[in-house]
Amino acid sequence: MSNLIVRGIAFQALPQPLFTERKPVGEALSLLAKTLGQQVNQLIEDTGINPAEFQRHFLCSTMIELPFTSQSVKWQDIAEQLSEYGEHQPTTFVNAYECASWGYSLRHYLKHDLKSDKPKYMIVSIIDANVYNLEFWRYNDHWEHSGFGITTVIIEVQGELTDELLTGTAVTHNGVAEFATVVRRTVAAKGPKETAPKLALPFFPVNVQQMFAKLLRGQPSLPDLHAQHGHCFGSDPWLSLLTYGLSQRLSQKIEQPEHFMACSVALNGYYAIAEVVITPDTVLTLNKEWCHE
Amino acid sequence: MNNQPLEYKATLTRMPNPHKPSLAQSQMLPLLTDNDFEVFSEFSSSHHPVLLNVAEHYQLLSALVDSANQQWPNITIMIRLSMPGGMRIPANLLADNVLLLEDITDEEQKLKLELEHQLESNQQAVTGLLVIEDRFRRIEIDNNDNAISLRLYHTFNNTLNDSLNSTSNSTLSDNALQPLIEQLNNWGVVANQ
Repeated sequence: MSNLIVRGIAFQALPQPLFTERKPVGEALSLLAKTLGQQVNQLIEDTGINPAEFQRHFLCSTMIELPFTSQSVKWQDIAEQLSEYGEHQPTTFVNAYECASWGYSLRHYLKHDLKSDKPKYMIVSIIDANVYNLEFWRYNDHWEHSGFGITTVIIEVQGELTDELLTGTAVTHNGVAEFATVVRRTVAAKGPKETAPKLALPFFPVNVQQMFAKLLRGQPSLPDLHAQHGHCFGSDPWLSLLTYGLSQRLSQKIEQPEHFMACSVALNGYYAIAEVVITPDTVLTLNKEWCHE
Repeated sequence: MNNQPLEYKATLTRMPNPHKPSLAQSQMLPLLTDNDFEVFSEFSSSHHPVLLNVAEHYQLLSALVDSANQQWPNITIMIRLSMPGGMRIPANLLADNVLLLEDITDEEQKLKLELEHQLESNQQAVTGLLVIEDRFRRIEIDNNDNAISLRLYHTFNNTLNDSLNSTSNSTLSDNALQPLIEQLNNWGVVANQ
């Protein structure tokens, strides 16, 4: 049983292109910060958790790096804008681990807590937005269409943790296939297929889906949503859980807590796998696609 | 409690391996549309030279982390590191005592507070904090200035007496960073005057 209980997931899709006419990158990021700030506040309010419970908040990304690498924008300026929405807003930006950044951030979160040996609640946000409208990020041969969005996840840590969160990196050149093997081994250790957590995998084109199907040997998984959303980087497993949870709730099927493995892998082989629980009380928010104009 | 870190500020002044060939590894995204070209033509470029590639940068960070782990086991290490990478980060930089961030400002303050709290309550698990913050230029558009700063916050562990002052268990000796500084010097990093 996992002691990582998902208290809330919010996702807001971002359009491609983001604007009809490209805006200065500082202005674009300020507009996105405002949207993120509102999403975070709404989700916290809906879960009923006191914002003071969150000791840190990392904002993760895979493909937003050029504004900071080129020093066109300073992260501290964005953090300052976010702080207008409260002290619990993201203060730190992490993209070195690419799509697995959320997992490495949670690992750090679990290890460092001022009040006790571990936090009671954790919050993490993920943003991927094509702020320069670059063609590579719209579509490329690695994962075909990209999907863009803003995600926030709130997790309650209930009791002692054992192996709920796994972070690591591939050692071979075929990182995605190696990741599938790690996922199979990890989920197999949780018990027989009938009772093991369902997998919430990253969204990939059909050829990678086929590889996953072969290497995972029929391990129960949530549907791949690449055809609907494209590859949404680190947001994929959370969007997968959100979509599943909403569909079950519509048909009133969520009556008991359900276990899942949220899985992400980066092009360079870094991966994050978290065993989490969705309950009938988990707040699931699918915001309407962002439209600035 | 004195919470000032031991600090070393320096600059990369030459190629790390001046007598060895170095791969030209600078990568940029494929430029496919008129907009792509327009975006990249708008980036500025600083006057500081590009002296190392991504592989050398990772090697340097990896060597510093190895050295720190050896001297202060389980020390928390924060490194300013962000994409683009273009290659896999070495395994020791992905270990669970290391955190890679775009901007270390806020988390450094939080970990400093955590350390002070541990020291005040005499917790056995106190292991210290090392911050590695470099702005080495790796590509033409990164506008970095080849500066590096190391900051070491107090370690407090009976097994680490070698790096502690004999008169105070919670004070670092002035030369605690020396092994890391020597490594940096070998790579062409020179202390700022």
